[in-house]
Amino acid sequence: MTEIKKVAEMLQDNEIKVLKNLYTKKLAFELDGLSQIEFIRAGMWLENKGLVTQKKKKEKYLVLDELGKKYVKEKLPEFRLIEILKKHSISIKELKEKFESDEATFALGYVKKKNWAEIKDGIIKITNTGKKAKESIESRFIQKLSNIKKIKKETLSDEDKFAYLELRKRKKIIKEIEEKEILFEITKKGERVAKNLPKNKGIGVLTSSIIKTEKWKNKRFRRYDVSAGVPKINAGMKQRYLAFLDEVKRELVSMGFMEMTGPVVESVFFNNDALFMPQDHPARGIHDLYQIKGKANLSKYKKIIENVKNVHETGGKTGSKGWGGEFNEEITKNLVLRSQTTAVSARILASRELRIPGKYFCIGRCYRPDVIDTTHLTEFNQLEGIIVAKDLNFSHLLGMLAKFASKIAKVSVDKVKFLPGYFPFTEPSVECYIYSEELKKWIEVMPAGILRPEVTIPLGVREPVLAWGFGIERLFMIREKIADIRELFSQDLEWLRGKK
Amino acid sequence: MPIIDLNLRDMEKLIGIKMPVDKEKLNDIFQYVGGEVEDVYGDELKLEIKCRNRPDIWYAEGIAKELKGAFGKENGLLKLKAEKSNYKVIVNKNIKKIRPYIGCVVLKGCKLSDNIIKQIMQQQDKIDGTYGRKRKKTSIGIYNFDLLEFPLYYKAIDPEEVEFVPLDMDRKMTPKKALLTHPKGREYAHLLKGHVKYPIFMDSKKQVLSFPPIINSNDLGKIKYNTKNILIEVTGTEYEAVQNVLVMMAISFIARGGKAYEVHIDYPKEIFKKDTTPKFEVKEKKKISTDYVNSILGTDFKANEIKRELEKARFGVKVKGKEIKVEIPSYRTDIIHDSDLVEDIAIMYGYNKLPLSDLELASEAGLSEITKFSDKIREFLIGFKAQEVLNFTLTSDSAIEKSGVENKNIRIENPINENYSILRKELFPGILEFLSKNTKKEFPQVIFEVGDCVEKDSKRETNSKQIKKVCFAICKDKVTFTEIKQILESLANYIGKELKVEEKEKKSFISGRCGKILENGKEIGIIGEIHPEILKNWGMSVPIALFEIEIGEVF
Repeated sequence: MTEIKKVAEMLQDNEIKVLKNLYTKKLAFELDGLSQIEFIRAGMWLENKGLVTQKKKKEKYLVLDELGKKYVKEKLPEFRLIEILKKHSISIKELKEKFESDEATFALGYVKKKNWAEIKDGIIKITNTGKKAKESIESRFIQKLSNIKKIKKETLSDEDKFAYLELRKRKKIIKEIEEKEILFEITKKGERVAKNLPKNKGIGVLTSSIIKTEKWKNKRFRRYDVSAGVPKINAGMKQRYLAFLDEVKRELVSMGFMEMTGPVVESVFFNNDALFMPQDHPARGIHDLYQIKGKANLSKYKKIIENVKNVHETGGKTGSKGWGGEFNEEITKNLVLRSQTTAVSARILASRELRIPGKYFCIGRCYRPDVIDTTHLTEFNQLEGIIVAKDLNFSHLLGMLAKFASKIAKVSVDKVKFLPGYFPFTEPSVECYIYSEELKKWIEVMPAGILRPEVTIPLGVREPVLAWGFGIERLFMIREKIADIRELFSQDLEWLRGKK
Repeated sequence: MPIIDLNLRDMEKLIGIKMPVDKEKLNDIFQYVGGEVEDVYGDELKLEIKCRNRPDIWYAEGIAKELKGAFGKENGLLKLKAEKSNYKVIVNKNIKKIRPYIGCVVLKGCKLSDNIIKQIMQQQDKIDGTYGRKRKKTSIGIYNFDLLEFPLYYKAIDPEEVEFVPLDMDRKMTPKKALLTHPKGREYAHLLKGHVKYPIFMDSKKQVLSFPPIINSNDLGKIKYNTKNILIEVTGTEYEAVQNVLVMMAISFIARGGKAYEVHIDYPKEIFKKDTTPKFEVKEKKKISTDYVNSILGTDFKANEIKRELEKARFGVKVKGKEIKVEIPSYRTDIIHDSDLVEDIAIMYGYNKLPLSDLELASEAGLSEITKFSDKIREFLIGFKAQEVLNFTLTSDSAIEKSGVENKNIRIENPINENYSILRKELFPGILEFLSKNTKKEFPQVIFEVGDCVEKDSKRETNSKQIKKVCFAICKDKVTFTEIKQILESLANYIGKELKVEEKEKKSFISGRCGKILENGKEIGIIGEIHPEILKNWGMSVPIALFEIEIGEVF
């Protein structure tokens, strides 16, 4: 099949109509039987196929203006005057009362000029010609304009042209507007296709009735332009950041970790006290923790609270000096929004469900009274993890961090470095940095350490516990090259649908 | 975390090494004090010190003593000595209930400059603010020694008994007035709340040195670049803390050429025994073994290698076989457990030189049941061409009210932004808010969220319960109740739940097009078409039908 025939078979009904029309007229801006939109759309499809070219032209049109529209309803003032005069004569004074002053003057002048009325001693009286007056060139023209909305100025008939020139003298009846007009002109290829148009209509959308009745056997299927663009639709998708968290969870499970959970409304006992943060520690103030009304019921942790109290006051049986001073058991019951997921680790360590050896993780919301900006949220996620087993040491922790860097942040070991860190609940503490090629600098992403004996022993754990709590948002931002942390919780549907 | 200003030329002088200009190279140097360079401009450096528990490295001279160790310029215990003297402070027993302890040191021959004074002010400020618990536990005063007449007196007086010119003021006032009018007075007045008498520090000529812990005298308590001889005083509520701060301050002036002289504190027996300060001598010794160190670090260090690293960290060390005796300087208030020494060994050795070990552990692994169940639901709902969304659990009163929901939410007592001041107890207001921000985007909009909600529950451990829920919404022209119910039923079938819908009236939904969702007679959710009034509240004009159900309890 020749290229020309293929194209000819692809054409839809409206395209065929327009192409046929252009084949005889060469140039067109409209077609009977098609709306303007249908005409232009069909023209554009033809243009995409190289069968027509588009030409834009500016065209002047006449349309009814404010008063013109009013006169369509109410008739022109001269006819309104005749209507009155048909019933009875009126004085000029009465005329001026019934009509606006412009209209009165004009209407009177008009009927006099047409000899439809005469004035005697200030009284206006209808003539015989006047009695027969029903319409004028002007009234016909405004009626026509009202029906067809607009008329091309260039194509006015003589009569219409006369009406327009008359009406133009009067204010706000007719106005001139300029509109862009789209013209299509047939190309050489278009002419060849037009000569090869198939005789019968092809099958468009295939229906089950066509299949059942086997109507397709004697017909051809209209060819589709399979390379043509189609309107976009949206698939269902996981939220982009949550999809990343799912991947991290899978990775951790494959590394042998068990997921743990804990509450976001937390007692300061688990959020701070059990983590050996002194009760008068500056990071426990109202500027660092969101406070919640009410008290926790910690009666089932009586023994553990006693241990924690001892370790704070004297070091208890941990070999530590403790913080000195008095540990206030009332404070432990205060409620806060958890400021770190280490609270969840403290819970599992204190729980009877703890397995040793064991590897646990959670990804959980944490809250801090920070002002929101490109690098801070007031509500964020932490990736928390602990490993508890006999004979664990710092080198295992460093090895683990290097593994995370490669599995989660996807960077090689030479892009990882360790620097001292400080956290009240770990000793030794470490900050793991990874090198961001994007930002050309080292970024602090994975804080970690060995939990202090002052934390683990009161909770009943004698074995060493390796622990970490990453700002998981940061890892995602590095990987996805996102500069503003707020994007992760974006409420822009297009961002979520993956459109930039 | 403390952020301190340093001058690189000054640090070069103090330490005796050349400072690089490159930020990363500076980080390599300052890692030995747990420092991270925030910013460098010319010779000025902003350094963040991560150790919140080491006030002895929150200032230039303190950092210098550590880096001298790390770079081999000095090692072992810092040499600190105070000359004998007859300087005396007489403490009155009437101070006992207010602020009982005081420590002093005289430093002669200091070589100061404007920059050094800036450093010392910074040190004073950081220590007062953090270690001194905003001056509650300890506060520091520095005076021009040459203007003072010994002995000095520390006592409590009536609020209007004396007059002095407070720092940076130009007229005399009583302590009472200073509390009311001086900015520092207003800032720290709460520390003296409930006391009828106030602490005062005076000399023999009845000149006021200071009104601790509020403000120093402008005449005696102001030092300049040409001040040579200095008195430092620390007062406080805890004896040990007062001594520690005094030593840290003395170290700075000694590093600036000062020679220390002791001061006798003449306490009344009601408070303490006769005392002499500063306490430079080592009070504490620890014994650790090489096995202990190696078991924590995973290393194979010999005793002498450990000794070398500890000396770099400025400890006094003696080795006897596998046993290492460590003398701990009094300013190392952070050393409360043997493991704290192990960290210092690792830091001085260099974290990046430590071995990395693989961990072979057989342990039970897997996701929690609630996560597995949520993931199953999320994946199923995506099949309805729905976009998953993620909202904050914190929301605002206005979002709850706009959605026509009763506001019984758990409230933050100290919010900093009203948009994040309460915890959500259902998901759909967040879903409505989300849709209200996308009115100009393509329709239909089909979205869902799986997330935690929290509500009050006085029977629970944390006075609240946390429940995972799912909310699914269709926002499009001509959406019907049937469409949303089809999805609910399809989901229920997939997850094997028998759900029933019964009519319910709710302000957020159109009456007669809203139902509660029941599972075994228990209400676990809501379904319906959102009321146009609610859509109007959110500035929306496209209909929404949605359902929300509980998935399970998190806590």
